[in-house]
Amino acid sequence: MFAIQPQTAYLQPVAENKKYACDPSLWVDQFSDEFFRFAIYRVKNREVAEDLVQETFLSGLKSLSNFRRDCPEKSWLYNILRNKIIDHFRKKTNHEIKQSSTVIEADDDSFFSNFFNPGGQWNNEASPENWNISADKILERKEFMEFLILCLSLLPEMWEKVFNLKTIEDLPSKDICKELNITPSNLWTIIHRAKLQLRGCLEKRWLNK
Amino acid sequence: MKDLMYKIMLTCKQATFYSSIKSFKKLSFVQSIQLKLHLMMCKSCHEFDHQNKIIDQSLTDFIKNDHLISEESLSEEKKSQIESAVKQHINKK
Repeated sequence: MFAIQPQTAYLQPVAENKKYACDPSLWVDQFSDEFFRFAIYRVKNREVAEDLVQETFLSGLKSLSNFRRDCPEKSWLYNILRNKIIDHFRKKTNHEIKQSSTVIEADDDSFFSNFFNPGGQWNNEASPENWNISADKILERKEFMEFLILCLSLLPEMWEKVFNLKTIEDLPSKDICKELNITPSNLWTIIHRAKLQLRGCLEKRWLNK
Repeated sequence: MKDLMYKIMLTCKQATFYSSIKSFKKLSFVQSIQLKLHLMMCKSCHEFDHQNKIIDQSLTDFIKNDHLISEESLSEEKKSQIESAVKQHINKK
């Protein structure tokens, strides 16, 4: 599951007097416009964005008892909103996910043999093609993000966790290892495999669609 | 000389490894030279490295907050609809 946890276990419990304030009756006034902009920037659809904001507040209310108030309520709600957006992309492409992908969990040798010959050179069919697009331009292509989310959700759970901790929490590598209880060399291998898989998936689904 | 070349030159598998992890971990001086050399000579790995950057940048873009400069806002109608849904939920408790 490519789920972003609203809270992170690595945060130490906070003392009662250090807890952040939380008042749901002010949420709509304080956050709804900003959250709406965040959502519409990503889903490019007004109605969908409005619904996502509403769902975010409602699921925030439902899980309020789980909120430890160790971060500002706004950050906590942002995480919920991101999850909702990811779920939205996922639903859109759900039918594709079902028919995926067993190679990913294979052991290292058989995994890498999908990409490289025994001499460590690219296999012809796996070697990267020119995407013919610059990094700036790609961000304008809204469907790229959908495929990226789709391809991320096809990765093993461990990589999703690595991604969450790195990109969202911006943790240094040594803390990621501690959090996931893996060695640095495990982490590097996970990242290498994930990048190979992710790039291949994008090329197959997005570029050649 | 040939032996030395073999020691310096990375395979594509090694080069993609360095390319993948470099946003997580600073490569050593030697490693980064080795990677640069390989990328100069190998078109496939050059593409891999470039696409890796695109992927990293897109993931960061998904998270970062550049929507803050936008002027869009929720319609008043929808806002009050959400407001009342939230109130209803609070009152239920």
